[in-house]
Amino acid sequence: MLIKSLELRNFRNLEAQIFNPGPGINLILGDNGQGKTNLVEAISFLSWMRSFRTSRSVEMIKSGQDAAWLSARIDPGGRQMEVQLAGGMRKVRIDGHPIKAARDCLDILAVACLSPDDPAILEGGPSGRRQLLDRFMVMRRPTMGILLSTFERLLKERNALLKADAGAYDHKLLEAVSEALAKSAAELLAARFEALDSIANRLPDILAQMAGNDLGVEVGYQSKWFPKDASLSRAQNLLLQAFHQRRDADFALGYTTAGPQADDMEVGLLGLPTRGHASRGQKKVLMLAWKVSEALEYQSLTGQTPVLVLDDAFADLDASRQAGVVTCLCDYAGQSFITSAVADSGVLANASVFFAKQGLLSAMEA
Amino acid sequence: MSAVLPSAVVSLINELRKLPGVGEKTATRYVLNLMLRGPEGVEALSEALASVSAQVTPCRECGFLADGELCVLCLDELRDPSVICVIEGIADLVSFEKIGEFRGRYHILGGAISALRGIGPDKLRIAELVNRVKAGGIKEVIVATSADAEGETTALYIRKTLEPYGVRVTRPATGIPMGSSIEFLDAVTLMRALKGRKEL
Ligand SMILES: [Zn+2]
Repeated sequence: MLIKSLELRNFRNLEAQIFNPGPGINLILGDNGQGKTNLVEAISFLSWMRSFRTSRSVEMIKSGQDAAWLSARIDPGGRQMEVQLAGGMRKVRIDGHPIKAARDCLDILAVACLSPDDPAILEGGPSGRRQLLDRFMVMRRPTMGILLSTFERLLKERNALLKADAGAYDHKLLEAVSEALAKSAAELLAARFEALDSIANRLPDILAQMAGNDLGVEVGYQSKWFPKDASLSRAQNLLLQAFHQRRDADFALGYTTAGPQADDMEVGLLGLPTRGHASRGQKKVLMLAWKVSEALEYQSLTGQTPVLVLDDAFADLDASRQAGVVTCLCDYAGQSFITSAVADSGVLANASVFFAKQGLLSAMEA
Repeated sequence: MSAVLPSAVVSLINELRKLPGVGEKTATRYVLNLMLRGPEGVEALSEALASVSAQVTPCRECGFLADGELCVLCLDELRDPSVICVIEGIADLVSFEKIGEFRGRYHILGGAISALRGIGPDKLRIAELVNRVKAGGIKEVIVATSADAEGETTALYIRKTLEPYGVRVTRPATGIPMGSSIEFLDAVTLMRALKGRKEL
């Protein structure tokens, strides 16, 4: 998959322009505040129909304007994707037809994107790491998005019942919701394991290639409720038991305490958790390797290369790791977008180079 | 536009806009076209609406539209009264009837359970379903609610509610994509799901 052209109008501080990236590495150079991350945000938005920076679409509209537009030509198939953001709404058309669901966009453009805040996921609370895993799970199989939203909906339904008076609730209804939630949770768990396994198989090699040495990376899924090898029906039963045992506590708190919404994904380097132990550079290279692994896994699953987007790719990396990242990028068969404040000579030779200045991208002649 | 139209016209436009797929533009076009037909055209529509409201009531048994106590489906003696297909709305019944494969009776719930939206079991026609089962002669209840959070919850609730009566409770399973509602399934998928139903 690749973006042949991208027309932007009123998107953040970017000037109205048509951006024509190359099919391989696209290196976007420029100082901070010139629009590099805004471009990355726009590309990522085309695939996910949401921003990694904000949930309010108005923030993506240039100040003083009513609407922003993105229009992209995407291969294979020369598909035309048009996005209009206005009045808190998002209108999306593919080849002139309104989309049915946001995941329709994932089907024609998959983007593995490292955003500026991603390395902090390794340091923060579990929700960021769950989201990292869930996004990849949805990217590789867009229908998993339905599974995820069904689970989230059932969780809200159960929590709504738990907020009622513990003495006056409909016992049968709580059982019904709990059973539906347990079934959905078990399916979500299986899908998370599948996604995690596929990353875990690839991550060590990519990371070693980038870092120059084996960092002994390990990723594991931590759940208090399910053993990893549990069958779907066993996981479902275990969770149903947990719901039952914690019913009084759940009523007291007004929400469901057991389930995959409380799980964590642990990432370790050389036997130590990254959280509290890994350096800034280690976390950065780890997240870069994670995203490249996502792209390669997607490729081996679907036969299509997703667009790889790495914002501020070389910051916090020493020279040898920078070289390692460049090697990985040069090996990647698909289209990529790399932003950087400094020009890396290894990439320069192999990339289409653009300069971002005051919201305008201009191509550097080879 | 609405600023220059008589208020009666505006309120008719607003009523039409409540219908699915009708926006302000379409509603305005309908109303203006109606005005072109003159008094007779408007009267005819008005009479048709009045008789729908006066003569059509929910079927006492299944909840479908009827012009007497019972609907044509519940009166049809060729249909098997021992199998009941439980659905959320009238549109689902229309989908089933289109494929013509199901020859039992229906039971329309009038929605699905959602604590979030304040729709408890008491707001749906679940007690009526229990009464039908209690009355006897029912061998199987097929719960064909949507494959989403609310539809799954409703199906499980119905199974638990019918447990004491020893009736077989099944659910169309095969091939229904997650999250989809019966109304929008194509005939082939619906038929396969109905044939491949499983014990709930
Ligand atoms: Zn009837």
